[in-house]
Amino acid sequence: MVRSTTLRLLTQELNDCGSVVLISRSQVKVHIVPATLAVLLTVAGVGWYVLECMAKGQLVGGGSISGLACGIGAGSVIVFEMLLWPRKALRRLRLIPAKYWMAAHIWLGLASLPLAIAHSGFHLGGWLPASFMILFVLTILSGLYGLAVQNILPRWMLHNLPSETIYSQIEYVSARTVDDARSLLIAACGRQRADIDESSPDSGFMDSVPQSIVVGAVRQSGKTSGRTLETRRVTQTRQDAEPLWNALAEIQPFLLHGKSADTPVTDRQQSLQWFNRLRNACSEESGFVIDSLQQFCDQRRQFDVQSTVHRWLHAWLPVHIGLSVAVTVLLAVHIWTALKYW
Amino acid sequence: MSTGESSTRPRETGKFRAQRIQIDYYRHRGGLYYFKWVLSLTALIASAAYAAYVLASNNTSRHLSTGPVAHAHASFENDCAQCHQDYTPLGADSFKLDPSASLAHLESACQKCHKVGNHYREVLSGDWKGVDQNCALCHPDHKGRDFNLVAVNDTSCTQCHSQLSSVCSSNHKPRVANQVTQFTKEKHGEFSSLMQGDSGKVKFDHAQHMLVGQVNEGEKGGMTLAMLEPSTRERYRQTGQPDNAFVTLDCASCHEFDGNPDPTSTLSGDDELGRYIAPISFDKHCSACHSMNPSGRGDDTLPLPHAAPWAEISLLLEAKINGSLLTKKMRKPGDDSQQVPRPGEGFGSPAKETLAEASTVEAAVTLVRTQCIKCHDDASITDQAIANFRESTAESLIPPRWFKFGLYDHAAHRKMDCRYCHEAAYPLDGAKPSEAFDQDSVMIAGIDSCTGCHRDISEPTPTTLTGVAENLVGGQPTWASDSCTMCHRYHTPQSDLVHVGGSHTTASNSEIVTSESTEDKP
Repeated sequence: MVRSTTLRLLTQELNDCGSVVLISRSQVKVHIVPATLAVLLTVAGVGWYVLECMAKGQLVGGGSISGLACGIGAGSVIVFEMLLWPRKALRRLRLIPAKYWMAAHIWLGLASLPLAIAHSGFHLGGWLPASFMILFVLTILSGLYGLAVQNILPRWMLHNLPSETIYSQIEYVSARTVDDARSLLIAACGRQRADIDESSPDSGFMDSVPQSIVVGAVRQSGKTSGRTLETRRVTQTRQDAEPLWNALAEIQPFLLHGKSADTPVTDRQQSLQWFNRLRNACSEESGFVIDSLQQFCDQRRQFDVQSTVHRWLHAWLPVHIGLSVAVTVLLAVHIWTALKYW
Repeated sequence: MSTGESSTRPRETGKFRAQRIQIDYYRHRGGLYYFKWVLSLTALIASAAYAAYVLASNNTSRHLSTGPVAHAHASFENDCAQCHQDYTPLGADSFKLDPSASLAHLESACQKCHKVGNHYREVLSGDWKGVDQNCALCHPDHKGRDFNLVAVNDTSCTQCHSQLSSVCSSNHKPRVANQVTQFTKEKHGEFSSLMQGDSGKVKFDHAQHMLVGQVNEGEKGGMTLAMLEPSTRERYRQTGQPDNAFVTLDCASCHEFDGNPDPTSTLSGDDELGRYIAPISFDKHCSACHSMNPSGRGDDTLPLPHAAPWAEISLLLEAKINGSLLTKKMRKPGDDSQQVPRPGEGFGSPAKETLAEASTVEAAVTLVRTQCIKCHDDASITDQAIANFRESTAESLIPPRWFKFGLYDHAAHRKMDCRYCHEAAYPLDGAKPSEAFDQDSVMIAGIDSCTGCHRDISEPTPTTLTGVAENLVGGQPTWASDSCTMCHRYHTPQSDLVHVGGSHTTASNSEIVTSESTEDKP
């Protein structure tokens, strides 16, 4: 359940940002039709072009019958690819399921490249057709990059970043983690003296603290793990209150801001040493609290990795869309000028 | 996780879980969202601006052209309208909605500058007319500044010549090989001149003239330099020869490099000196030894004009005879007191008639006619034939070109021994020359003499060529291109002039090469 929830959240997030399609054996039914169509389209168009070239003993241009057919095919595919945008904007209409649409987007998009090359007659031509072709190739490459990272990185994250959360909630969850740590320390050691002086001037350390506390944690369920809630039993460790509260004060910037904060636990190796020293400085009963603090730091470290991976995973899409927009505009100009100066 | 161990232990409620994530988190737009829109708008604006610039620019060719035009057309590269018409496909292989309009525009655009004729378009069938009209098929432009527009691919030729019978209309039988796919005897066919033979209008014995003194070895009466007109002796004198030496001719004595003998040809470079051999002229190449005069060589010799009407010949002979009688340089019949050369005889051609017969005009004319017959047949020396010959458009009695459909560049082959291609023109060693057969034989070598060098680059040098390379080929490389355009030109000289039955005329298309007798300029 944890895995499915995480994957569903991830997929939903990817769909919000752009698209995700998994290419695996389980997705054969999704891909078989558009892939077959793309192969047939490519073989037919390029084969026709090759036959005409062989018949004429030279590379024919985009104005030839086969070249023109390839050009019309490639242009039609580009228009179809751009229809993905209104499809997403009008998702409430529940047109064809997005996964089928995306599969067609991928395979037909790939088929359009050989068709476009055949249409070009292996000449870049003037600046307009050259820039058009270059942008078109870059669009294809950016799409291929996106396809690759979307099939690799989510799986990697699933196995290597069990603490991952929704990207936009990283800061919020980090703040909640600090609250969890504070609650944990209050439950274990009582309030910090400074807090007592300010909030409860008439009381010393809390005499009554909860026996257990609910905090965010990574939990294992079967073969996978995910981030959820966990109820932890709290051990009274009032004698270590000062070092533990001081420890929280030191790691709090890291928990809130991640690797950009300069703390003893920012670096993983230094963090291990720092927590070992803390354990040595505290009693054995405080081990549970220290373990929790260390888990919070590891979680924040994973959030940092997730942020980086998230950019790899999604930054291509604005580039892909931007290139696609430019290609579409240049396609329109190319069609008009090519017909005019045929 | 709730275990129920303690009543003070809190439970993981849905509220707890909901608090871990902001309930409206999906409304938060991250940086990538704005980055996407910024990039999309930037791309839209940039591409639209570029498109607007291209369409508004005066220099559209740089942006829209499929490639730079060749050097020859570079001066009007930015003026697309020089060739292009809006929405009219011009590309060689372009799909054309209205082929006739497109091809007509293409042809007219090219012929603004290139006044060349078509290629037997009138006898082509169906769509093949369009192929002939499609200039860009052989001369595609926009292939780069250094692209050679006239380097025509062989397939441009063989697409028709490999199936000529289907390319020509049904009522026209091709005059050349039906299937030509390669420059070999099997796939190209022999030269048409060799297939058709010599017209035989001029009798001539090359072998006899190549002998020293133009007589057989050991025979008397050889031509010496002293027997020539003084003005022509130096031309035939070999280095160090005295006047009493025998005249020794070589090929260059009569055959000189020249431009294209076809005055109507405008093919590029076709008139360059050396591509052809100048036509034989009687006055220039024959008269030194075969001067036509009725009184032989002397200070008062009256040479008769070559190819003059018989009335003019008679008048000149009569004037000469009367003048000679009055000046006592000639005596009447029966008066043999003085030895003078007899009129009507040329050097080296002793007359059979008597002196008395030659003293009359009729006899002199007869003697001159006898001299004519030595080289010409009777049909060629009639008044009508002579009148026809004097027309400026008359064909030479000796074909100036033996390749009826192809070209041969003598200058390019100047290092080669003439014998390599004209073996039959040389006397046989140690054998008495046979009767002259030159008028019955085309004295050029067959296609096999060409294919040794002009072969596909993948084929090795034939063994037959390696043995003769040094002596006959003059040390030249033994491989050369076998491209069709090495020897053939596509365009007729001018679009409005066609050559029908030996004369140029402005003929309607239907009159052109519909008859088997019609023949291209030889």
